[in-house]
Amino acid sequence: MKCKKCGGKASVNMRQHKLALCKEHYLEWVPEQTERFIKKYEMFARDEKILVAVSGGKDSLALWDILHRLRYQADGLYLGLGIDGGIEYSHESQRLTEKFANERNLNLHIVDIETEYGQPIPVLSEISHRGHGKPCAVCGLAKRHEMNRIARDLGYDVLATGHNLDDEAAVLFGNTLSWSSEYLLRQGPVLPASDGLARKVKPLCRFYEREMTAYSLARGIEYIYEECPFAEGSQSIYYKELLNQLETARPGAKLTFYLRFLEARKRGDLFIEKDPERAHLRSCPKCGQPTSTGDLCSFCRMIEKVNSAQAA
Amino acid sequence: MVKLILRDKEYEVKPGMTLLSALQKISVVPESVIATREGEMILEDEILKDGDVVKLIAVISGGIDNRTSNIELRGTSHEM
Repeated sequence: MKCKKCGGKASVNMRQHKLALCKEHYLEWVPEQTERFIKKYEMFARDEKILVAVSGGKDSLALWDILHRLRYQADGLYLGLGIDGGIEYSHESQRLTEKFANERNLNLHIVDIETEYGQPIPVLSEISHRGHGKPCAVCGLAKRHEMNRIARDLGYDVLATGHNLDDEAAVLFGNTLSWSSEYLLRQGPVLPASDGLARKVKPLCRFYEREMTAYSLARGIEYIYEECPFAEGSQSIYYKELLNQLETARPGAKLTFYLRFLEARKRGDLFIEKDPERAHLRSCPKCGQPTSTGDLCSFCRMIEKVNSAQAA
Repeated sequence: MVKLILRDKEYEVKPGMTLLSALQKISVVPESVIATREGEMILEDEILKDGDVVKLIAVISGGIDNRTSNIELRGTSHEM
């Protein structure tokens, strides 16, 4: 297969775009497309400060690399989760993230959950009895809370995450299967800032996961290849596998699924919206972040439960 | 023979077939991997030669958070 730009041997083939590129032209194409998506969805401007949530995985490191190449003001945030799983998962993730930042002289903030809240994620999950025996629910809750808190505390204009199209399509698929209308109405490349919430953006949301892997390999980015020990058998991975089977038979199916959803959402074709962003939201009396509950937010409740259990 | 390696598993296929045929033979969904040979990415139409060692890099990751909402909601959802 030949590169569409130079006729040389292609390294990456994107069947959904009917586009094959050699390594050099692929490494030019990805930042060009990212810039296009940043502008199309009005994610951020050149003078804004961006905090990139980095996990040590391919997507978030690739995002940071691309934003750096595009000369945006992008610092990194690594959250230490305290997950070992017999492979020192968090330790290795942090090592690779720090190595990436040091090699490029980038500014990285590191926040350790155990230092901040007394226990690592698996123990917080165990004590709080959230998540049916797996720490993923507590992990997600803590990450959302902390990323938002830190972005606001440190004065960043926007929080960027490395979600790719496969991530977005899997979420969309899951929420469509259960017709979770509230979640469907909120999904998109940009989650606007509102009281207590930093703006959140997903500049990689139109790249396939396979494309981000190819980008990381072509750029020589060293990322954590091992999966989180708790992700095995997860619903998100199952949905991604199903969607990849569909994609193999019908190239472009994942992209169409996501883009048509965004178009329908923008037109207001999905559901009748009842001011979804602000519906039933109040400020948590402890941390001040928005919550749909009438009392403490889920995160603060979880921490209180942990503290009570430990004091008993 | 051609050796294909995916995580801790190894497969062998006959030389002369394309990468796509080899992936189908070992029941690996092509969309779910990137194939490399001697450190370089190769595409599905590549003819595999005797002695080739092809490393398959899994592309799927899961467990990332904050997919759907930046607002805390009760109940089940897909906020992976």
